[in-house]
Formats: sequence, C-alpha cells, structure tokens
Amino acid sequence: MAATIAELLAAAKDQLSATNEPRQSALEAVAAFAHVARALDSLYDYRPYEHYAYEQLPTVVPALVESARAAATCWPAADGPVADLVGVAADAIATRARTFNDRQRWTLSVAFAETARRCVDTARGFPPYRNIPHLASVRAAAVACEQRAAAVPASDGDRTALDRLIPTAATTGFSAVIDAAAALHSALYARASPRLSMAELLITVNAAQLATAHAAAYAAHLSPEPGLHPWHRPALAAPEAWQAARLHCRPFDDTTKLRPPTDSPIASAAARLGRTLIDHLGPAPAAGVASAADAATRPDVASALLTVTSLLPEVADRLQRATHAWGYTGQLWAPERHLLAYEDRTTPTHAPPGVGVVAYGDLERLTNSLTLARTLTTALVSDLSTVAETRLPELTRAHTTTANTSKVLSPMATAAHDALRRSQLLPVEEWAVPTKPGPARAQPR
Amino acid sequence: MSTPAPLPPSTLLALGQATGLLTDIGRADPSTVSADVAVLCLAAAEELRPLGVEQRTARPPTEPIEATISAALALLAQLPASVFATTAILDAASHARLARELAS
Repeated sequence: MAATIAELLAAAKDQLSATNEPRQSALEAVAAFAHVARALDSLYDYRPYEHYAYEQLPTVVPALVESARAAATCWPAADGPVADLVGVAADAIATRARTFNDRQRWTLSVAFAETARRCVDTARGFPPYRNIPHLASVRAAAVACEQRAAAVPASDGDRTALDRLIPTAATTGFSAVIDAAAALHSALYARASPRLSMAELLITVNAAQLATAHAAAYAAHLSPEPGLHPWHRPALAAPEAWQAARLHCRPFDDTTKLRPPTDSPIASAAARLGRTLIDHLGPAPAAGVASAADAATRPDVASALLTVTSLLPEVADRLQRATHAWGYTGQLWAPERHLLAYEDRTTPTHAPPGVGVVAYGDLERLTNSLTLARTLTTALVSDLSTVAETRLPELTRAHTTTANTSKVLSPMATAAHDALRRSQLLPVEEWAVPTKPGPARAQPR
Repeated sequence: MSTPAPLPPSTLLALGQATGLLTDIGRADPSTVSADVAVLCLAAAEELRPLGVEQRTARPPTEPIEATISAALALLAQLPASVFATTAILDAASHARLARELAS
C-alpha cells in the first residue's frame, strides 16, 4: 500500500524502539544517517548551500547534512529496517526535490532532524556508542534544527510536503485505487520539465473526471446548505469542470492523440487509475446523482475517494503548467477555425493549409477550465472530509482551509457549468493531426 | 539525553511559564480548542512537568490558541542549547509544534 513520507518517518520512529537488544538497535539506528544526509542534500542540492544563505533561514541544515554524512562513514555496512524506511522517504524527496517550496523544505528538514536525533538517542543506548563524537555532532545539529523550528512562526513551514504518497504496486481492493492515484501524482511531479504531450493530458483529465464524479456522488449524500436546493453544493460541479477541460482539448493535437507515447509513466499511471476506478466503482455516475451507498455505509470507498481527490488539485496544477508551456512551445496544432483571428496572432505559423499552431491565447478556455477543476476539487475534498477518513491529513486540511476561506466557489460552480455547455458546442468529432498527407495543391505561378 | 545537573532558576521559570501556557490550552473550553490540539498541549506539558517546574493553577488562555502555543514555543526556544537538548524538552517542543500547526 502507498505510504506517505510522514508515515515512513513515524514507522522508523516505532522501529527504533521495537528491538530490545541494544547492540542491534544501535546498529539499525546508525544506518539511517546516510539517508538523512542524502534526503536533506537533495532538497537543496541544485543550488548547493548558496540557497541557504539566500534564504537566511536554515543555516542549521548544512551542519546536519555534514555531520550525518560523516557519521554514516563510520558504519558503512550498517543496514536494517530503520534505514530502509528512511531510505524510501529520502528517495521520495530526491525524485521531487525541485517541486518543494521553501516552506515545505524547511518542514521536511525538521522532520528528518527529529528522526536523526531519535536515531542518535537509540544508538547511544548501547554503552560503547555513548561517547562517540560523530554521534554527538549529529545530535547537536539536529537539536539546533529543532530549536530553530520552535523559534520561527508556524507560517515558515508547510506540512503538506509530508503527505507526498509513495506509490507501490498494490492490486487488490481500494489500495489499488490509492496506489494508482499516488503513481499519477508522483509521475507528474517527477517530470522535470512542465511539458506534457496531449495524450498524457487527455488521459489524466479523463481519470480525474472519473474520480471526481464518483467522489461527487458520495458528497451528494451530504445535507444541503440551509435554504438551498439539495444539489446546490459547489463541490458537485467539480466533475463538470474536468469534463469541460476534456472537451476543450478536442480541437488540439500534437500528433500524440492517435499515437500516444508507449513509455510515459504519466499515461500509464492515469490509465491504471481509470481502470481501477471502473473495476471497483463502475463507470462515472451522471452529474448530481447520489451513489447507491453513502459514506457511512461504505467508509472504505469514501476514504479512498477522499484520498484520491485530495491529490487532484495538485494534478490540475501540473496540467495547467503544461498548458502554459504549450502556449510558448508551439507544439500543438489545431484547425484554423478554432484559433484566434490571423490579425491577433503574434507569431508566424508554418503549418499545413487549414491548420495553425496553437498560441497562448487559444488555450485560454482550457486553462480556465483547469482552474475551475482545481478550485472545485478542493471544495469536494472539503465536503468529503466531513464524512470520511483521509490518508493525507495535512493535504486534506490545507484544501479544506482553502475551500472554507474561498468566497468564489458558487460563481465558479456556475462558471464550470457554463464552460461545459460552451465546450459541448465544439464539433463532436475529435480532431487529430492527419496521419496521411493531403491532396497536393496547385502551386501558384 | 537527560541533564543530571539541577536547572538554574531562570530556566525553571521559563519552563514553568511554558508548561502553564500549554496546560491552559489543554484545559480550555472544548468549544475554543479542538481535541487534538488540547491533547498535544497536555502531552507537551506532561513532558515538561518532571523537570521540576513549578505548577500554577490553570486559567483560560487570553490570547488566540496559535499565539499562545507560539509563546510557549518561544520560551522553549530561548533556553540554552544544552537545556533544550534534553529529550523531554525536545519531545515537548515537537508536540507543541504539531499542535500549533493543527491550531493554525
């Protein structure tokens, strides 16, 4: 089953006290230092240590990295379950290091400092290790991190980073749904470039629409807001926003619609998510129709849907970055009748007759639909969190806070409905870049 | 590691004030403090109590919850590094940090 960084570090903490034999415990504890150093180093390594000085913030972290790395060299062959758990967390951080913001980096640094300190305390429970200077320096550096964390305000940290799910290959029950969503989220964040292919975006939007449709069917059981119709909940419009985004993609292609990439982890994970949702919950229910069972009857389903839905606002954010990138890379083509007027275009196009290169302004409706999808999905998370347990408490809490403080959810729900109606005016057939050359045209004299 | 030497009076005073603030939140009206925040604050206070701090009568917090926890954390952060390195204080600070996150 997929695990979060917070769960892995908590399991490492439990594991430290699980072994009663002091020598064994100490050897298992010291094995984690290499991974602590690796995790913290990868968090900042693309601008090594210059970044710290620039931030004026965690000058204590480099000291911990250096001391942990030095301590790790003392026990090069040490290993064990604690190192395995911390190592997986370090891997998860390393693959997404560039996507964390400063506040998330600081929270992760403090969490790893706490883990390092507990490892030292466990190791020093073995009398021969009590006075080793390397351990003392690791502890001093970790304590300095924790002391700084106590001194700085809460706003300097962001605990949502601890809720990054690490996918596995679970194939049974609703764990498979959560794992597939974690794999999709992870694949999107592991992509160094914001560029996606059209096929990747389409399949991701399809899977997200399916997930939000099922989640909305569960949220539809919630009691209505006072004085309003039972269906008047902005969150229930989230699937419509995702569907509008899907339909707004109809005229665009980058040649991958008919020839999707075979080696894309994003497309593979999105397909897996869609398939597991259909296998376990069936096809997407119609908008506004409540599910047969409610969250109280099927808490496992509601919990899985809440966990999956909690990941989707960040998925929408990555898709939006991709559409912004498309505006500048010119990798999309579309029939000219769907593009801005020739007079409004700022760049010359070199496309076949009748086909134009998609510019930034052409993607405005798609980008707006993804904004609506992201915001309304946070509202869906907020609604579902009142009746279901989540695997991602920090992320769910952050989305709930966002939704509760937003004053534009109802207008956005209306906008999503309008966007869907507008997108349905597009031609029904999907447009793709022709695979065969068209008939030759007479050359002008 | 626990500190074997007795703590100086100024340190005990700061620890007592931090314990008092955390206890105040833990025993506050449930309508103003969520259960998870209260439990974490009480757990933090319980970590500090064996260090020999002077206990005072609990009273309702006058500041917002997050500000009160921040004040308690600031008192702990100002302790000398050798005192802050005590496992009990580190654990108390960890509980209080999490409580502050939940209260924010």
